[in-house]
Amino acid sequence: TRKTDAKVTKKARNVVSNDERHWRRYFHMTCLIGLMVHGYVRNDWINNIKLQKKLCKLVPDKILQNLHPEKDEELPLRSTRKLLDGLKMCMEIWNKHWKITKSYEGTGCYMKLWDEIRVPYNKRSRLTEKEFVKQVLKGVGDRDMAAQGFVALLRSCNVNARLIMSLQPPDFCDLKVTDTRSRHVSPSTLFKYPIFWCEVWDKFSKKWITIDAINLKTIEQIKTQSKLEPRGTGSYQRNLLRYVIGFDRKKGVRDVTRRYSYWFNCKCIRKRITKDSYGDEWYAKVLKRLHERKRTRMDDYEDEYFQQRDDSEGMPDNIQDLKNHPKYILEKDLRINQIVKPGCKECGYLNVHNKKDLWKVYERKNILDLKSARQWYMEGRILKVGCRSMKKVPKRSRSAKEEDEEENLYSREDTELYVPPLASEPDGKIVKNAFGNIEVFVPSMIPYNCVLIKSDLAVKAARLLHIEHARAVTSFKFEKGRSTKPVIGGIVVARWFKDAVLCAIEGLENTVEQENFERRE
Amino acid sequence: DGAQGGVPGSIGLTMEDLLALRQVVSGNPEALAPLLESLSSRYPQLREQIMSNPEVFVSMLLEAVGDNLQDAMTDLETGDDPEGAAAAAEGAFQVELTESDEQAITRLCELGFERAVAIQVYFACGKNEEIAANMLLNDYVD
Repeated sequence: TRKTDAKVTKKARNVVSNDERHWRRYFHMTCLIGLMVHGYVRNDWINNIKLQKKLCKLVPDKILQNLHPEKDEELPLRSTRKLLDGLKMCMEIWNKHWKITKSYEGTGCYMKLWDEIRVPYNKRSRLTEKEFVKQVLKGVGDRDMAAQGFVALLRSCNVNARLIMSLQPPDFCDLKVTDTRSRHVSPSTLFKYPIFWCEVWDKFSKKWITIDAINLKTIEQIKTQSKLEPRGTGSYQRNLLRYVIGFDRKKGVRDVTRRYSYWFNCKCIRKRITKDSYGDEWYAKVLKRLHERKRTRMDDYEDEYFQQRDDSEGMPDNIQDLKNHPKYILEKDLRINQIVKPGCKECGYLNVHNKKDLWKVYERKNILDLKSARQWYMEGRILKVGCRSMKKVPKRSRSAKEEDEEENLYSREDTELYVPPLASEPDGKIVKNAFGNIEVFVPSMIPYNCVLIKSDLAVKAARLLHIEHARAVTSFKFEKGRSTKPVIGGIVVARWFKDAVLCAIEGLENTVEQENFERRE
Repeated sequence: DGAQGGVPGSIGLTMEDLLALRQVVSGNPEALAPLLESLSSRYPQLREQIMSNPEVFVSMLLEAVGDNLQDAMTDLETGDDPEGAAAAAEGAFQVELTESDEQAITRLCELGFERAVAIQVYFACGKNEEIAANMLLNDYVD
């Protein structure tokens, strides 16, 4: 039978059920919050006054001068050079100070695979702020703590340093039932790229400098590519660069993934929860809740830099990365209701079939979404007088008779907002359609001096009061056959009748309740 | 009281779970995934909350995180018998009480709780007497 067939293919495909897929997405989000708050709290601990007071003694005055160079009016680059030297010396100090580097308990903050999240955990290990300060001062702990301590060291010297954390929630794009990857990867490969590192603001070049003092022991001014972006399947397994968050000393929280991801728009974005608008809003809410300072010029400079990185990322060179790309689209992937804006040309070509074929690639901003007059009306817009259709498409109708008919499509610019006629004063007469209804698909379709009252009892109430009203069609229900039924979502009445109708509805509700009560008696 | 047995502002989590979560978030990230998995299955409402109002969940995590009194609560929680742990905690636990704190704690004791326990819960709740009372009644009734 079909059912077992489906089962067999499912098993063969090794893909989880729909419910499990949704659950993984949810769990990814939950872990994301947990990890983000973890970074937030550690950033707070780093600001511990006692810690900073003691740490700054580790840095001699000579190095301190380097960390705060004067502005070289002639060549600002020389000031940056000095700062870099100072940072390098601090890195050496810190590596001497850190005496014992413990190995991670389990996989630390690295990514867990889906079959690992249910394993029991060590309930006894719970670090507190006090303990953290003690250990950082002693120089004992794992690499994450060493990196956090380094940020504390720089902040103790009054350097604007932020804690960077690459969050590793489980991968919601991984939909395999059983993981077939080899787990035998040496820790040195697995933990090659760091989870925590540091960034320092360079006021001379107006850019952030990246420092990984512990893992790769490197300082970089990232132009296009960072050494900290994990490469190689072994390192990639538990370290997927998706959410790199910067926590600064004033409790600012910013997403800085763009700096570290080379192919941010075509690869990284797909693995982020922000890839759809719902997830994007959700993610923005979380960041906003944690971000505690006002916007500064530094944020402007950083945004400018991110924009520049976006622009220089360029067009991907394969079909896969072009699918759902935020900036580019293959001509072949255009939908039937999409056209290229008049006068716009392709921005590039893609070699396919071993360079035997060339496919056109367009920029998304040059693509227009077209809709039929009816579809526009469903969004509360009507065609402008004298506009011309941009494209004709075969009408999608379910009856075979109309197969040859064509439908005209229009762009948004060919339409204007539909302004419904006002209800007459004082009797509140509303203009209705042939069926005696008024269509209210969006709020702007309610006449300006009217209101929509959403209640099943609204029609009854208005009739009872003998006032002018119109039943509101708010959407359509598509039934199995070919019929489409309007959905009455309440009534539209003139504003001045609103209170009366609401009162009547309340009264009717009470009567119904009363009747029910009496019936039970 | 809509949240059954939960602490106000905690999306229905009990005191134990709330503390465990806060401790793991700040001090034991390795355990984050397993703990969240266990919480998600025990509190089905968590999913809806986190998906639609993540800010509320974040606030819940932040409220007592970084609070100095967490150490004291740790002592309280680890003890197998609450009285012994509370007694041990009281020695290491010295806070200056204002007059209004004193009165609030006395009222909490009158509900039938050990003074040491009452003090700790009172402070862990950010000196909110009502929440503290709720917590004590929910979690330390017997």
